Amino acid sequence: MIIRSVQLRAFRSHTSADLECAPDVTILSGKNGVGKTSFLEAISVCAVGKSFVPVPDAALIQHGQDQCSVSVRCERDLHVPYHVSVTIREGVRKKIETTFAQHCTPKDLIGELPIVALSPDHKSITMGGPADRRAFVDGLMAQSSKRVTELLYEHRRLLKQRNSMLAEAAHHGGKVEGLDAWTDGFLTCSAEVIRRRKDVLDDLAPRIREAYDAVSGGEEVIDVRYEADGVSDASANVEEQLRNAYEKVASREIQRGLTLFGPQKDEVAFMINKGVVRETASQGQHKSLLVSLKIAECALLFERTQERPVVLLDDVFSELDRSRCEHVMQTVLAMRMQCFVTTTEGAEMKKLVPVGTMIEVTSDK
Amino acid sequence: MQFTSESIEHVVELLSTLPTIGKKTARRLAFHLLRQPQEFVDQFASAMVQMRTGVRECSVCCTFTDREVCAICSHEKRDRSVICVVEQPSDVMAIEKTNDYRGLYHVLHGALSPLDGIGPDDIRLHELLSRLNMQVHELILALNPNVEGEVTTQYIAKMVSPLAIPVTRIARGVPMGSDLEFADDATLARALEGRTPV
Repeated sequence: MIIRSVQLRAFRSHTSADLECAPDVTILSGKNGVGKTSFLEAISVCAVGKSFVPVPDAALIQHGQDQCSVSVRCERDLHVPYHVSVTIREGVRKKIETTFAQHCTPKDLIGELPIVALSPDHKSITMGGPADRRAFVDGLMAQSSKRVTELLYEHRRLLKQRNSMLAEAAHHGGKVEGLDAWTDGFLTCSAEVIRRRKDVLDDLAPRIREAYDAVSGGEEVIDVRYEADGVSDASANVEEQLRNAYEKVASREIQRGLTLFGPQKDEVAFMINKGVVRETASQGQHKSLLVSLKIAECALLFERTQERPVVLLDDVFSELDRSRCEHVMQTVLAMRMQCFVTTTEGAEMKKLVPVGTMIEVTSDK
Repeated sequence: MQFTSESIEHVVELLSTLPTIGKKTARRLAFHLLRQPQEFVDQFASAMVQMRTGVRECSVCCTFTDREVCAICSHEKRDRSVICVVEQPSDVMAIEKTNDYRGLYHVLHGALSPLDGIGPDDIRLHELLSRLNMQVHELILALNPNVEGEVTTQYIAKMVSPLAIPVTRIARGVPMGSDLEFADDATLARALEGRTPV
């Protein structure tokens, strides 16, 4: 996928901005706070319906305005044009139009314009809690299959419904009519989520190892361990194992008014030399692993969708040293993926990347 | 901004509360009504009042009707051994349009949804149970293909299982008359999961 142009209207600090994109690398250079990241956020909104920075939608609207809009024009790898425009108003559903339909939901967008984003916030994938790692795996799965996108939405809805029912039960001090039906639905859907996560992690692990070897020189052993909550063997009868896990917590769930088992509690543990990364890795190892995860994500997303993802690198060069930066750029370029980079040091960046276009972003661009 | 007529604005406000009607459409409808002859508007208003006061739930299938028992339930040629369970009266119309189903219906008026405070007692499940007698040979569940419809389907199937009445559900998959390549990916994946032997 190649993005040809990006258009921002009343988005973040930009009143009106148009960006013509290079097919290989577009370097967005400028001082802090001029709105470089806004262009990457706009692409993210058009790709997955939200910014890759965890902010509410209302924060994307320019101060003093009641709505903002972003649109991108792209070309698929098979040279078919694709267009998305998203209008955001506070308190109202986003208005999304694509080449295919006029009234889309964010769910419809996911996977059409595959992206891989790397920003300082993504440090939490290796350093943060299990939720950040699950979000990484789920994001990859969702972008590579519409069926999985639907499955993850279903799981979230079932969990909400079931929690609501359990809260009611806790409030009334006992069992409520109909809980079993929600439990059965939740079990079936959860088992499928676990199977899909295992499947994607089985495919992802060798690519992470390969990418990490290339970044670090191959002296450390990387492993990925999927610890599905209540499931000891994710390749055996998952639904039965989940049901056993449920039976153990059933009475506590009613006391607490909350679902206490299921894939929303899973952990994806990254290991270096048999030690858990989150607990034992050095700062350098964290950075190398994060870079490797993103490179593996690019490779797997391309393999599963046969569409090259667009790579968004937000200020990563303030976090990574020169050699890791160089490695990321070389790998992305070797995979022939379009890349957007934001940096405060455009000249330094241009030395690293011999190709592409550098655009100086100013606050009123 | 100043209103030139409070009564117009009042009608616009009321019309815009209807589903799928925004402020702009509401205004167009209000001005359209204003341009119509007085008799038409009287007829229109009285039809709505009459509908609200006259229409009730069928005492058998719970769909909306003007009579004690609706036209479908009282029709002697309908097959009384099959009952198709749907969520809304509008779903009855959708299935009737196929001209292919000759059985009876049962309208639940909703699906289980704890988030909206809808439990088994809030939809017409007791009425359904009371209809299931020796005469019924099949119960078809035609609920919406979403999380709530799915759980309600499973709930009803479990509720009916002691009665030993065969329970079926409508198939999910690609629409007729279209090409597979144009089917959306999620629907196609579902259709593959629900494949049947030929």
